[in-house]
Amino acid sequence: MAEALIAVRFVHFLAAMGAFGIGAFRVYGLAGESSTRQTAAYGELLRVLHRAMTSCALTALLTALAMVPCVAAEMAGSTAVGLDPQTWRLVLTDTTFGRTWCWHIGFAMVLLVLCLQPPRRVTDGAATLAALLLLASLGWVGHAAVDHAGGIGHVINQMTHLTAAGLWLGGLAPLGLLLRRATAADGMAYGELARAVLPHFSRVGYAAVAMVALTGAVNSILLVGSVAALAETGYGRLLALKILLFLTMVALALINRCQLVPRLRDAAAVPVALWALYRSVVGEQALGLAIVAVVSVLGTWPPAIEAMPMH
Amino acid sequence: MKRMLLPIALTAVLPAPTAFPHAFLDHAVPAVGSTVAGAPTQVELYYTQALEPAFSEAALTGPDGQAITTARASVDPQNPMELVLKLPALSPGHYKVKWHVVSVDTHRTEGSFSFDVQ
Repeated sequence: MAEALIAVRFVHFLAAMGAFGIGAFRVYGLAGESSTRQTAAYGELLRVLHRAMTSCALTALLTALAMVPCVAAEMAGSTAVGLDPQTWRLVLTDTTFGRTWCWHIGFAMVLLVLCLQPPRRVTDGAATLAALLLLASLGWVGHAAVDHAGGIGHVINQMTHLTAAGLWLGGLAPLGLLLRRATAADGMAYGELARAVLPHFSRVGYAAVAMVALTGAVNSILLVGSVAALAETGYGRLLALKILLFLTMVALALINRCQLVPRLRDAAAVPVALWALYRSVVGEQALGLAIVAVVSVLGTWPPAIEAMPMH
Repeated sequence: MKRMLLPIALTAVLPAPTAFPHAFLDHAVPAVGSTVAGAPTQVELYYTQALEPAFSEAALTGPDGQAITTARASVDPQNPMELVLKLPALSPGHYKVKWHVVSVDTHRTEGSFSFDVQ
């Protein structure tokens, strides 16, 4: 069941980050775009994003429920016992994880109900808030939540890390959708929309990346403890891989920002620049998937701080 | 390596954190591998992390390898990192404690140790 737990965690992280990333993209990227709001492309993009967010919400709820037997099997040390509904009840009512997870499942349900409403400003805003709560509440379970030395500060740090990561990685999903349409043969209107949205995405991206790096550094200190542990423990090496993937993503994003986005000002260069940008965003998405895969494994391993002598 | 520099710099100036997110056996009473004079009335197992009582247990086997019936091990209400196994009257001999616990971050650990009663 350990493999099932890692796989379910992977899909759950992606769905929760996707839901929040899409919801936030609608707010910071599209809500203020009065110049393009009347176009058919704008309306169509909103519909596509609404469907994508609903899919994320449904996936997040299903995987949140699927986590219960996976965690139950881990706790019981037996797949058969983990599949027994009695064990699920015990996990949900009698453990620290379970009591938090009830809230988490509740947020996923609220998110799905809001996503199933017809698109309206109020329900869209509320759905984004529910997605934020869903993502942030993941910081209340796992390694950060039981770190007595870090205390509530570690939980808040982890929640901020998850939210900022969702804002950036999750935001790459709607950005990729928009750029794919913009690079299609009849994508002129989407191209105009992309040119209008990209500066908003860049601004939010800067802030999110800075926040991810800062909160990630604090987490590294609390869970790894020393540079030696980063190199000498399995947990440390896997975290080092995650940091390397993150830095590669940042490098790609900087190339986008500094080389490709300025080219969009020149109307003649727009089609080529949009293509290059789309390819680069797909590359960033692939790196983001790899990072979430690493995170899904990391959460099930003992942090390096346990494996190294403390003094 | 911008992201690496901050943890490295902060690690140098901060005291070593003392977080143990998995529950490993720190020590036990009677001590692991010890010989005690007189039968103990309970085994106390101290862990490095708070335990989930619903998924934490310990069991005792006697000198002949037979399981010894005890009440279910319980987590000390005063100390969530301590598991207590109440014992019946033990005769002299070699005893083995097998335990498995789940820490509050959902991870399961297990182990065993022995002690002798004189």
